[in-house]
Amino acid sequence: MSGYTLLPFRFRRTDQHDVLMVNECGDFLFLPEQVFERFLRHELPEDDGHFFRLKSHLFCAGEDIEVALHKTAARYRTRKSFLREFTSLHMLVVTLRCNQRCSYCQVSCAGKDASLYDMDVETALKAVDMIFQSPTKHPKLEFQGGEPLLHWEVVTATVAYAEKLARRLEKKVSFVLCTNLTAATREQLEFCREHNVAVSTSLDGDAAVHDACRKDRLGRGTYRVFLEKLALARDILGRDRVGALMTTTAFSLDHLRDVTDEYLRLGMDGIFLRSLNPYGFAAEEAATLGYSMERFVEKYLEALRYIMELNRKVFFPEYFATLLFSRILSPFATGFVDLQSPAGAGISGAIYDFDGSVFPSDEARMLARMGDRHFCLGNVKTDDYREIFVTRLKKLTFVSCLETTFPCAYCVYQAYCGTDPVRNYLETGNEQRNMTHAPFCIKHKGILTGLFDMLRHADDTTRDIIWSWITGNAELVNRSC
Amino acid sequence: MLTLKGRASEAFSSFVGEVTFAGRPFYARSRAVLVCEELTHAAMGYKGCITSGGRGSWFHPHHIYGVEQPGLLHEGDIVAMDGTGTIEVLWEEGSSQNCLFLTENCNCRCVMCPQPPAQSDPARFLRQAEEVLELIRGRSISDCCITGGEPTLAGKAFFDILRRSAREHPEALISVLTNGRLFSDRAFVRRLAGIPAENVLFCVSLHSELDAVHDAMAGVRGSCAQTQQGIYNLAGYGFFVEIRTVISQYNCRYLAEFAEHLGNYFPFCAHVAFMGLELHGHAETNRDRVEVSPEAYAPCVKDAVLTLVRRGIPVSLYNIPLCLCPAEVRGYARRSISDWKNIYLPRCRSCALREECCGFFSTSSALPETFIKPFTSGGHV
Amino acid sequence: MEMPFAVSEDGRLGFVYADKVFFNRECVLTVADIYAETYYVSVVPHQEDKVRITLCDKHGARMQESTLRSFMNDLVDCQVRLDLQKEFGDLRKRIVEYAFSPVS
Repeated sequence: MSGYTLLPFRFRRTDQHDVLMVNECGDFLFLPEQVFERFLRHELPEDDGHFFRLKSHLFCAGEDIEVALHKTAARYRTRKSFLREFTSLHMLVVTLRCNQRCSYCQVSCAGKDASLYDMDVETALKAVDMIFQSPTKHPKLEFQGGEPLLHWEVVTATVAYAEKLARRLEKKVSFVLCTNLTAATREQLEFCREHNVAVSTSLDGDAAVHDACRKDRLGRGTYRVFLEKLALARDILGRDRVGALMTTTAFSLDHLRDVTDEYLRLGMDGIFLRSLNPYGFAAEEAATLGYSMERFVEKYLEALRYIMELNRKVFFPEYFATLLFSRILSPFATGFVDLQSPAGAGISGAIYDFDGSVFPSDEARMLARMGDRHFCLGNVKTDDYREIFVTRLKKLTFVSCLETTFPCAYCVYQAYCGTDPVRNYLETGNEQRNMTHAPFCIKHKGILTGLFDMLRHADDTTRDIIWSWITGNAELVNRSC
Repeated sequence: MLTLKGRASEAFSSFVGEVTFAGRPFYARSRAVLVCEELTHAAMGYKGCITSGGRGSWFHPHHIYGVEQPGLLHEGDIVAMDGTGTIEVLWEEGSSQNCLFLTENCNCRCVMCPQPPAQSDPARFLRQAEEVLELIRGRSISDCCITGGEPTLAGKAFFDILRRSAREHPEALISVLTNGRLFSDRAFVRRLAGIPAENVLFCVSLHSELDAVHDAMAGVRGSCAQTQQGIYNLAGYGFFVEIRTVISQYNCRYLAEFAEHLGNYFPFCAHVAFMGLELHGHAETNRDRVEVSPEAYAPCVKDAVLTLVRRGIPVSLYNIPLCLCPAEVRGYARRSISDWKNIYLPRCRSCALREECCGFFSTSSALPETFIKPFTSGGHV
Repeated sequence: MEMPFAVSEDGRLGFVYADKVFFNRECVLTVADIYAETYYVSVVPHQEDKVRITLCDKHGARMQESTLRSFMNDLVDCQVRLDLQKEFGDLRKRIVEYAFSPVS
């Protein structure tokens, strides 16, 4: 019997007669099955090559166990360091009015003239007061809607007030405007430039794909107008201050390569292949727009392989893969509100509805619009910071940890994954559910399995590409030819 | 360090002084050592003299005569001279490779140590280090390396000398060459309080994350764990840490995995240096156990360097001549061997990359001659 | 020799026999929980030293042998996990403790 101690890890048998092992802080390796059995029985000789690898990746330790635990803890701490900042992303729904009516829109849009659904200035400023009580030194304010351009005076007033508070409290505030851009005026864009407001817009693909879902209130496609306004925004703000996101629908699922080509053609820096969120309008049109998560995983990985090939010629990351690769390969902290444990809802990000209600996530706000205010944390007009972000948020946090969810507690991908208690509640009536057949799990498990498969068969160039995405260093890939 | 020899004028105990060729006014002579071709009345008032000429008279300062090549010294160098006729250059003016040598003692027994430690009283060295610091005060220097043996064994004197160098020379990089073992004790690390961290770099020797491998090289069981804990503690208190790894038969085949381990668990380190062997001292005695051929280490070094490059961790190769470096990582090799210690082979005269190459240790007992080839101007071997 | 699993004659039910020497109660119930979303599951003692787990698809689909094989593999892995948790559960606590303790 050998004298080594096993360090905590999770595992999963692969279809290639080996076992994927992931330790408590996310370090991993593949081990042949027989070696795994011997390792568990403490029968692996300590001069075996596999033993050295297991030690190097902190799956076991000898007399150096104390320092091994400290190393694991240090990386674990970095993994959870998003907690230190606490709530830094604050989304403000400045109006529910919108000049478009996109098929998958989660916001129940009222008609353009219904200003009952506008956030009044007083509520907005109260929200800002609450936002600056969060311990983070870098609050990020995101203006959402409906279409925030339609209620511009509240945006300008909020920016001015937030800048004032930031100076007084010595914090660094940043702004993002989430907009479809189609109603943008020169003045509005110049305001964004002056106050360093970044623009985040939507581009689903080429004209056919984009117009399939993203229509104005008269049912016409918005692609052409969008391109004009995109050019204007880039002209005024500079290319790097205008980003675009896409949503995958049944229309684009089989054409993700084309969507990628469109992004490339328009000179975007990269692409984030996002799956559809089954809330709001989309639930009614699920048949037309929706798809199974298994299919999404298949198509996503196909598109990712295509993007990898493209990267041999041009630097163009896929941002979701970049996030997951960062978690798998590096000890760096990664903030991504939608995939954290404990869930990012409330802890990393919060959303303020037009009437001042505070929710831990957009899904929670959608749930309220459908009649269930279960996740409402309070209201900026009537409740104080402690009531909302401590007392009520704590209850949600207890049920949003992977470490205590079944079967995530022993899932091999735990170190890389996250929870969405609101989604669980919507699907089953409980914040915690058996995740085995949950679409959330199917998606993330499927993608992670695909990424690990890519890693094991990666040649040097693929490794360089992956690291170029993680570090942002495009020079890592030799593209001279 | 550079050492010159001559004959002492009489028996005198060791003293330290600042070299001058040009001569000084009377009031500035008490700490200076005049270098001259022969001793005249112009030598009066100096702390000491060095001459290539013959012995002076009883009224001349203590001197060492018959020195060959006094031209190897520079104006402003700081030397220690003693009654055995030995002149040691403690500090070379204008050099970026100066060291403060604190002690010969060491708490490791590295199997590849090129300068095996002796057990001696560090008092002399500590005094000399303080005198050097006194004499270079006010000068602008680029680097100062605190070393030994194991400098942390000097206890309070180590902290004092480190504090003094860092504070008096904010313009310089003060590096500490250490095995880091004593820093595994947090109470010891806390004594670094008050030392500015901005210009201090701890260069810690870690040859592997596997204790079986590192402990075998360092000759002390448990040193791997202590060194790693020491690195964590230093970093935890805000100090910059560099990791130095000597390439030997023990750790060569695990080098790439080690680099990955550094990327995973030591991402905060400021720099990683992989170092070729100096085949001298214990390394020479244990040659068959430590030496590894360039053919064997080339692929290991290449993978290790690229692993760190991918992660954005600064990396260098020290003591590996360019012709023995895999092409992909040649850009990371540095001119790391001190000028007075490096040599080239006759065939290197025709090498196109000679100016950028570190050459070889003059102290190495043997060189891998079969692998050494000059580069043509096309950059090919 | 009795096979550790079997499909009923009408093809609707699947049976798995788990030896209590190898698989403890927590293990059997945990794995049963995983399958409980898709199947009706029952666990009863069988002879002196085993338990019999019965599976029946909630939508009436035919029972596949592969499902029962998966169940058995899941039992093995689950028991390994439970044993490992006993072995390094404390270390896991210590890691989290070190991670969240202040720098002294």
